[in-house]
Amino acid sequence: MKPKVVKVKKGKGKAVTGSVFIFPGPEGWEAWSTTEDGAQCVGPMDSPKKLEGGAGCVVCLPSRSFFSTPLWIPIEEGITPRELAKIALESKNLLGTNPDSAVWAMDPIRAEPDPATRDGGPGSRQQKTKLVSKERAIDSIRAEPELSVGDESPGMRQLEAIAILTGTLDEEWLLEEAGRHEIAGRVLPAPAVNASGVLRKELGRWVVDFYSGGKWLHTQPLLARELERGVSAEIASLLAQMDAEGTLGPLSLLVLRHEGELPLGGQDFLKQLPCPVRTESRAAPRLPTAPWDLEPSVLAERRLAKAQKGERQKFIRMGIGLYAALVALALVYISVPLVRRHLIQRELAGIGVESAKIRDAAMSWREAGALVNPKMNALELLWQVSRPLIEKDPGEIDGVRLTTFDYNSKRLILQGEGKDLEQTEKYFEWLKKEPMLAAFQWKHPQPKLLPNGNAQFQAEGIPLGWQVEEEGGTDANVNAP
Amino acid sequence: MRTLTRHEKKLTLFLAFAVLAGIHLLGLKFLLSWDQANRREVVRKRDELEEARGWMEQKAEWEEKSAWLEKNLKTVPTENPAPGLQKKSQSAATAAGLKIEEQTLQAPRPGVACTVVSNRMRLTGSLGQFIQWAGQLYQPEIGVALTSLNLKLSSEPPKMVGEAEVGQFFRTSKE
Repeated sequence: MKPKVVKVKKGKGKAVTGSVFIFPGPEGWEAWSTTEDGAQCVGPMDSPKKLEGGAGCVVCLPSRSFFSTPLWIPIEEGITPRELAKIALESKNLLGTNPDSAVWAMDPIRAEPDPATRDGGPGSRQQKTKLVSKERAIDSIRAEPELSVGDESPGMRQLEAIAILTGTLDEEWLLEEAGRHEIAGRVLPAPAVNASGVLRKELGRWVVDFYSGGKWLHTQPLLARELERGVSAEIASLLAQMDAEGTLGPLSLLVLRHEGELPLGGQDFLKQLPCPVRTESRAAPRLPTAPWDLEPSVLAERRLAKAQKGERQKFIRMGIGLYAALVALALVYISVPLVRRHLIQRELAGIGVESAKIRDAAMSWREAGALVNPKMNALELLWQVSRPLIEKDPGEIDGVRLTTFDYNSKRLILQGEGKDLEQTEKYFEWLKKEPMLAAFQWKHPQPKLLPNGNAQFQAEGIPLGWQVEEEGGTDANVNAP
Repeated sequence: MRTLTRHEKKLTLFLAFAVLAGIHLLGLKFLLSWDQANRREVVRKRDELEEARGWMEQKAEWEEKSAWLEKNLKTVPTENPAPGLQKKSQSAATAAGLKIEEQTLQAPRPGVACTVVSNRMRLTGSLGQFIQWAGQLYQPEIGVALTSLNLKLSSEPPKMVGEAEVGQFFRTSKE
């Protein structure tokens, strides 16, 4: 018993568990899917684009978009059936002007001894010769020419169901998210007899699918739009043709799959058919055991173009990302000193006023150095520079006397005489090492030797923190704490 | 409007890239110079901060000294203090036995924090007399001290010739 098909509106269905089939139904496009409750059908819609097939859906091609032909192919060693089928299709001019780019698929139906070869008749020889002449380019045939001219062994042939995409597909039927393109007749279940046919309505037109041994063999759209005498004549003619070609054999059953009441005259039409007829409801599509993918070339081109565009966009995005990263780095690089400056200014604002007060106090103290700083006091300095020369216990430097003591707030100049250079140098060393004179930086030219052997010297002390100006004067560096 | 040919499109794209590159170069130049100015400013501010920190570390020491100056230095009086200073230094020199050769009142020297009123004197005497005189003059509690002293041996040692400047320090009043 067939499971019940639930018909739902778009967007109202239950959670889908398997593939979604975009199927050309009787009145329009339908989306068939499987849910936990069974098959579910959404539609019909006038365009597959209006259905939510989702990524990887199976688009079932309607009969008007492809050409199908059952074809007998001789079984040859070393040559694949597809190559032979291609040669045969080319010879019938079914693959168009560019056979290599044609989209087609085939499915083996059955094999049997080739009657032409078995009979040894000219037909078989002629057929083989014709095939071989087409395949001259195939090296394998050249390597085994005896296969094409063999005349003693009975040959075998294989029936192939072939579908070829014809022309360009309707723009509305191209779904970029589609994962597979199948033939509508192939995804429908075949009647359980050897040779059978299924009459169904597809996008407003009657179509007949033929099955052999449970496999799809051929689909033929019918010219007549209503079930009438013309349809039966068309079917009879098709059956006669297929019988002559030996592709289908005697039709065991013709199934009319239709929902609802048959149109007026439908019952009369069924009686006119030359085989047993059964009417049944429509069945849910499912993927055959060896599914095809007849992807339209335009879709493949579009996907390729999209992939290339995606690649280009990826590079552009990478470039933009790189640019953004560089800009961000530059911003960080620029903002680092700004942040530092802000932090320093904040800290400075906290202590700036107080430190300025302390600085002013230090400056005042320095200005009043002669008054408040013993190391800058004239009397104290006079005592300190004279002390090693006049103190007798212990006598530090002997034989040195000062002749000039010249002090102001900017420098201290000492002039004098020593009894020899050694004592003079000793005095200089003392000046430099004495803690009370450490507020001065001392410099002295080489002492001058006098005719009496004495050494005349001069030493100049500059207070530390005072800078000697180019003019010779000095100025206080008040910034130094 | 006519659609552009492939070549024209290429040229337009090239022009757009060139304009964009030019804008970027100009922007880069501006940013770099701005950044350099910022970095210089940061260095300057950092030095300023270091100095301020240095002053803060010596806060206690300088506050004490500042308090001493506040206490002992008077502001410049409305009446000219120079004659009083001259009289004081003159009497001290006489008391020490120094001979005053010459003396000149100097114009007040205003500083950032102190104003100094001074009297320049040329004296002769012995080193001991000079030291006695300087010792008598040095009165920090009223801001009087020797601000310069030039002592030389005279042609008749141990007599000495000295040029000295006696100064009185006043606090510069802040407006």
